[in-house]
Amino acid sequence: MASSGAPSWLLALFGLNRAGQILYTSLFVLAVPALMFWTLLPGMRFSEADEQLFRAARHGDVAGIKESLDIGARVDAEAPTDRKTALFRAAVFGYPDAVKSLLSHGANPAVRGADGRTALEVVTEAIGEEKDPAARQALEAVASVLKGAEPKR
Amino acid sequence: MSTSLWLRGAIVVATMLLASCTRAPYGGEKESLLITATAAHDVAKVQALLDSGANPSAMVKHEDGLYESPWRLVLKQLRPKHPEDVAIVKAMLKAGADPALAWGEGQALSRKSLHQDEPLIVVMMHPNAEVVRLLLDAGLKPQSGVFALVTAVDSGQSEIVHMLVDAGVNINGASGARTPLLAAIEQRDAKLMAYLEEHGARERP
Repeated sequence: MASSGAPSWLLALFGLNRAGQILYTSLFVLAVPALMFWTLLPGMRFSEADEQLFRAARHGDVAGIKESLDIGARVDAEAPTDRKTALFRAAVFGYPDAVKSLLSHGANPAVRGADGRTALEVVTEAIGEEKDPAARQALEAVASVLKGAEPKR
Repeated sequence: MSTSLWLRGAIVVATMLLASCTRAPYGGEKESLLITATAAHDVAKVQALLDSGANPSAMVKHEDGLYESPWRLVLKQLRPKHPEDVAIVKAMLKAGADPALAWGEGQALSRKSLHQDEPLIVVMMHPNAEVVRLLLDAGLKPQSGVFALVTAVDSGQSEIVHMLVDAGVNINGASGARTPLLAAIEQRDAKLMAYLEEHGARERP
């Protein structure tokens, strides 16, 4: 009973048998690195190609989006800071063509960022704040593209 | 990355230790007059008092019985409708006010606490490009530069953004969870975003 390494009073407290001790000990041991990976993974997986994809998306550069996807960017890569995808970047700066291109490459329009909002929700709010008519028109074009997109489950 | 975090922590601790050793400066008659003149935005009177040797960094009793230095007060009361305050800032810097430290007192939960604010933080509550320029010219090496940079991007103050970046503030630093690039994206400010990108801002800081 006392050979499992954990203090005996702790095991007595939970009243676990040998199998339970092994199960819970291994779960705990695995949980710590799993939690670390879960928090660090978005930053670790965000590659140089993803950086290029986001940059192209921010500038509505359709050719740049294709190019970065060709060199290995993930179309649904999340930014390590706010967990939003390239789709959000192209959308908030009002580039319907870039949004279309991202969607045709398989971007998921139902992704939610760290603030819990989808790209369409973010753009809808931006339309309400925008004073410049040309910019608002661009945002509305983006919103209609996003509304027409098939959400992936 | 981790070393720079340790280094930053060490600097913060060292600054706090040093700060706790610093004797808080308190003023007298002259400083009382100086803070009254500052509150009244009276440039000529402030200049005259500074010339007669009043210390802008020394605290005297001000509103609500709290101690306040004329230097911190003028930084706190900067507003576009009072452009004369910039002249007061200029005069105080010339009279030896510290561009990196402003003394004052605030009400902590139950007891009074001394504030040693960094002037840049106080100024960024109501961003004023001219005053930031004055502070940097007076030799300020901003400790809280990332906070100021994110705030400047948030309020669309491109002039301040340019100054802070030129002064060497880390463009990929994070203030809370936000980086300057993220602030520009949230404000949908394409011009500032392009400027930050040119200077090396990245999605993964």
